[in-house]
Amino acid sequence: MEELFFVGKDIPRVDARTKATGEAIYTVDLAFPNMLWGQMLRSPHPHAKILNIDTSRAERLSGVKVVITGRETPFVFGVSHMDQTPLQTEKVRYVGDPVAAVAAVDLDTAEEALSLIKVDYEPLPAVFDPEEAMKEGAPIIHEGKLRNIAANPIYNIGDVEAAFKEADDVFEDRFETQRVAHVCPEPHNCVAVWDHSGKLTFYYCSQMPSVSRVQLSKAFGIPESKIRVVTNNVGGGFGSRATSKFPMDFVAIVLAKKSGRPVKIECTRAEEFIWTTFRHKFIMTVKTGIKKDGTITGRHITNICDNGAYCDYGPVVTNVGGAMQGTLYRFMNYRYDGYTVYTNLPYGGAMRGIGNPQVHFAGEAQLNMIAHRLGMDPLELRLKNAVRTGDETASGAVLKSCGLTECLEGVANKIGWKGKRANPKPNRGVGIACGVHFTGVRLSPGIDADFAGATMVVNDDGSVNLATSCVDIGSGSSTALTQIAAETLGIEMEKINTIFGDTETCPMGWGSRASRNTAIGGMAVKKAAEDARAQILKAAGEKMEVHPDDLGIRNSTVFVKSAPSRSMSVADVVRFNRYRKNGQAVMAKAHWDAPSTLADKVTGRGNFSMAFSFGAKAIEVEVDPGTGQMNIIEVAAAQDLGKAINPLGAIGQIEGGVHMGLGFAMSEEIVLDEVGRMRNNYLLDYRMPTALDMPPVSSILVETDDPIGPFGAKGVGEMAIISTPDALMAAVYDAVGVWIPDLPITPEKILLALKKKKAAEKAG
Amino acid sequence: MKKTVKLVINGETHILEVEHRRTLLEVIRDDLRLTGTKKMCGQGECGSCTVLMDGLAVNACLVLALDADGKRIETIEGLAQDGKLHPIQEAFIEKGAIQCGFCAPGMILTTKALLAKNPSPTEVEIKTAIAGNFCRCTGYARIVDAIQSAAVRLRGE
Amino acid sequence: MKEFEMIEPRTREEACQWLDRFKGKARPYAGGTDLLVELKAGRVKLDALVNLKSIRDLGKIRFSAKNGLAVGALATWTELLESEAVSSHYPLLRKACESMGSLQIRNVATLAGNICHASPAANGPIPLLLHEAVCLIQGINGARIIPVGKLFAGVQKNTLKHDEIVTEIRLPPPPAGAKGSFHKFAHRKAMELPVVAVGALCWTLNGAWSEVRLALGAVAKKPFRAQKTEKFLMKNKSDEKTLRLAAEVAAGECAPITDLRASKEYRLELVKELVFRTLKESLP
Repeated sequence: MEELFFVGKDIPRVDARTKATGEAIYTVDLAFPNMLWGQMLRSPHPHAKILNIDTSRAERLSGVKVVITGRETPFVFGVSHMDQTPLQTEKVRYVGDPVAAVAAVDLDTAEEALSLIKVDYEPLPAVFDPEEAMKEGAPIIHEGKLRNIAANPIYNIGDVEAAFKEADDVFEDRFETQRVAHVCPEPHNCVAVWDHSGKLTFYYCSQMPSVSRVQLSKAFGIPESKIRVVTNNVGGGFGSRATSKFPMDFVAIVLAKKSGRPVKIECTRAEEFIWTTFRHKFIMTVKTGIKKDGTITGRHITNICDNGAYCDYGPVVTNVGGAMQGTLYRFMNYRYDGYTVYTNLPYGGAMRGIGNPQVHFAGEAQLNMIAHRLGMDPLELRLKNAVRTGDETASGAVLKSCGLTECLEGVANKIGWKGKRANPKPNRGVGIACGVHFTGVRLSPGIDADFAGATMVVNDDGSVNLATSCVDIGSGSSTALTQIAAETLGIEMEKINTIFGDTETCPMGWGSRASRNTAIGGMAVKKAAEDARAQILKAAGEKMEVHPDDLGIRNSTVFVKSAPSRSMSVADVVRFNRYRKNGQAVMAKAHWDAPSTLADKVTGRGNFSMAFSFGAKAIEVEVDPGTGQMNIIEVAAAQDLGKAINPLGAIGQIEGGVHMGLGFAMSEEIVLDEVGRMRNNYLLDYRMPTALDMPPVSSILVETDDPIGPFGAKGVGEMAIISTPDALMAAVYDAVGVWIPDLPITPEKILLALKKKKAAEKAG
Repeated sequence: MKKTVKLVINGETHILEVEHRRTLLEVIRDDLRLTGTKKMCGQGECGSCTVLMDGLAVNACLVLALDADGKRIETIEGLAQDGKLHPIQEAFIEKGAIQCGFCAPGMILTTKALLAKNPSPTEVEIKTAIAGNFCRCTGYARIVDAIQSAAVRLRGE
Repeated sequence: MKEFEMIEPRTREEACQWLDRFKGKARPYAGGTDLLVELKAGRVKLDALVNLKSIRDLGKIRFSAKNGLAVGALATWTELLESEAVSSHYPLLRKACESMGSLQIRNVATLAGNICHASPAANGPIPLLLHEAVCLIQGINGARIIPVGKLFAGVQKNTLKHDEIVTEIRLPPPPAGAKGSFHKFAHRKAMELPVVAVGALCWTLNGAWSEVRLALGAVAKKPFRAQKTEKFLMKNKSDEKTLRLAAEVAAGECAPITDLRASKEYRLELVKELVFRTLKESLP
């Protein structure tokens, strides 16, 4: 194994210095001369026809420069289903659906202008529960969508009914997970600036700026070359900013065009909570057939995704949950019926794990219940059924590397699984769960691509400018990519300047989502760096009269492998290469498409990702039986990430994932009132764990050296959150003997379940 | 209604005429364009707008500019001196305590206030001090590590 | 926030005169951590704030063995936490301070402001009720003293007239031989209003209770002393069985609601459990 100098090291983040000093600029920090503030008027009704909008009084208010309605925003947009317009003209479908917008000299004036817009509505019957929405006779939210079903992703592999017949036991259980908010630290915001050459510059905290550019080009009918999307540092994304798909994006651009001035729209925290998408609520039924010896024969999962009023990522989210449940265990009879159902509520979107954490909860929760019912060790049951390297799973995934077994054993050892189960303490318990997530994904039917781009220039002084299509939303991608570039080039990290986020200077790519930056972004960087390295070695070979194969690069020095004292600096090579007759620059580019395939249209099977990251979590909890309060003693989290490009960074992602996972498991919940207004859209009552609430987290990095990814790397970010609520649910049962099948698992639910159990025991 | 106030920010005096309702955060970010101090919630629930006022960590979104009149204000921009980072900043960078970075300025200033009063804090004391600084990325473990490392550096060990 | 005028009086009398002049459209302003949030949300609309911080003689924290603890209107939670006197002599008050808000809020918010805000779930009232603290009130018609319990009129409503300010909170000299205990149930370890808060202060004589004070928070429109339960305890032996029965009596004195933090039913269960634990820790 060749020695590595940058990859695999705990190198401090390349962007940490400017973030530590406050110099790092985020979109929300931007201000422009002559800038106006935009604000949108939103519907107070969950479902209503728009009869009339009178903006005349608002237009006359001093300080108001532009007022628009849906007439000025006739664009249809969406992610996979184009079912949304920025401002509604015909009808509104949720409380908060925008109907008009203003641009004014300050926010106060904008707010006042909104209050002067008169909208006449005719309320329509509304439906707020997806199971009700699917019934005959329910109000139809989008024309043509029968029973309000926007999408119906199905996986139908093998013969699940035969599998149930073959089984010794068949269990069916129901689970529900709640709506959870991203709570990105930087609130959604954007600034739109037009100039008289017809160019649009759109500053936006985007995870996918080049995709934004495509969407805006289509919507406004202007060439991509005349649109510049700029993403600076991003204060968190977690999926909420994947693709340009918010009404405010289009509205800001129209307001800016009409006023001839830059327009900024910024969400308040209250708006950010509920109107910038969130994790969908799922209602799931899991049916599992299992033999006495613990072999799972088949599984059938039904998932009703409460989509909200517009699709956004809903169909993809519903799809992903299904795909991944056919990728974890070795059973080959698998059916998944997913329903993305419209309701008259604010709508969800992509959030870290994009549907996977929810369905994993159901699958793993049931497996732990089954283990208990059969008197089997939940760890042994999993080890028996776990997929392994070389498997082709029910979902069609080909596992070129798989560390599932190592992850399970790793967390079991760390938590003291055997010992604690053999000698249980009162009110204390341990729970275990495992999971899998992809590294980039090909799951949008019709889009047979999953790529990243990189361009690289080596300068006269041997320093490097690297431009990537990946956006560093806080996950450390710029650092990992710089490490990969440094390793491949043989040039120190300090000499490499990695930029992202500007479509004018960075190549196109799918940006940052689906845990793809390190692997897919990394391969594009590696390919570009290999190309640049080859150019350097070719030129050096010419200068030194040595075959390039006999040359190496280390510390910015090209040396002859067989006679290392013969060397020249990379800088000298570059200058030699450029300043001569027919000279050349050292410039490289790469566009790397992940080797994954779209699913079969009938079965849903396909090798839809380049690699799969496995993980496991074990949790020890102590429950206070008098109050139901949980005290988490320890969390052990293992993750098969192929190769840790930056171990400190990977641990940071895992710890952050556990934090988000614990919130999902125990205390976070978007609470809506009877018409879909969020009651707790402020941090005091939207409860995320504080520093004082976090238990010790042990992170175990399992390196399985994937054959495809750069230096063996796979994705990290999303698997980090998966399995957390699953393990907690089992730990609570182990501690006090109650199953809580609906998230979040709260002290109240535990106490009331304990009371019920006691009453049943007394009666029985 | 307006009043003239004297704000001493990072050692520099600013004489400003401010509306009575203007918060210190608005003056810092919007008027003085010191955007290192962040606004995440505007309601004193997240700590990203933490600045030091006469050495005390406060949420600038809930301090009126009038309240800061004549007080010694420190924002994140004032920490590095002559091109050299403050030991707390160095510790945060080295220990991987910064991911998206939005909470970092507030977190670092809270740390400064903590370590000035308590140079050898226990883990619980650290977590209590930063309990009002919200982070969505790190899970706090690296941050606690960084603060412990900063404490060591500041004690000169 | 909508525009308002900041008035900066030099004396208490001036402050009261200004408050009177604005006829309820002005409020006293000290830490502002509750009031500014209300103003930003538009839940409260005011023409003016009367800044108590500009008043010189509004004192801080004073203690004497003879007179007890005087907490000035401008004393912050941090100052209370750092007070030797509070730590040594009023541990229940200290405990309430520790779990309040965040460091940033504690540095600015005041105990006086906390009780005037009159949230039924607030941290401040419990120890004050247990110590039978009083508050000194100043108005245009002069000064008066009332027990802290009489300050609360309902949810976020106090009994002050629009021209009045609380200038000081006084706790009697530390109760000799008393055992105190404080339990709160909250979802998280910081940044939380309690779901249920219970405090007890008990005196014993010859192995039995001679006086029991029990205060409950977040389970009714106001924090209160559970007097029925106190009487029940004085009439019965102080053993575990009685404590369980007492907890039931205490639950009967509550009128909890279902809100974002908990259901009514859960709060009642918590009251029973926490009252039991609190009293058990104060057993003679």
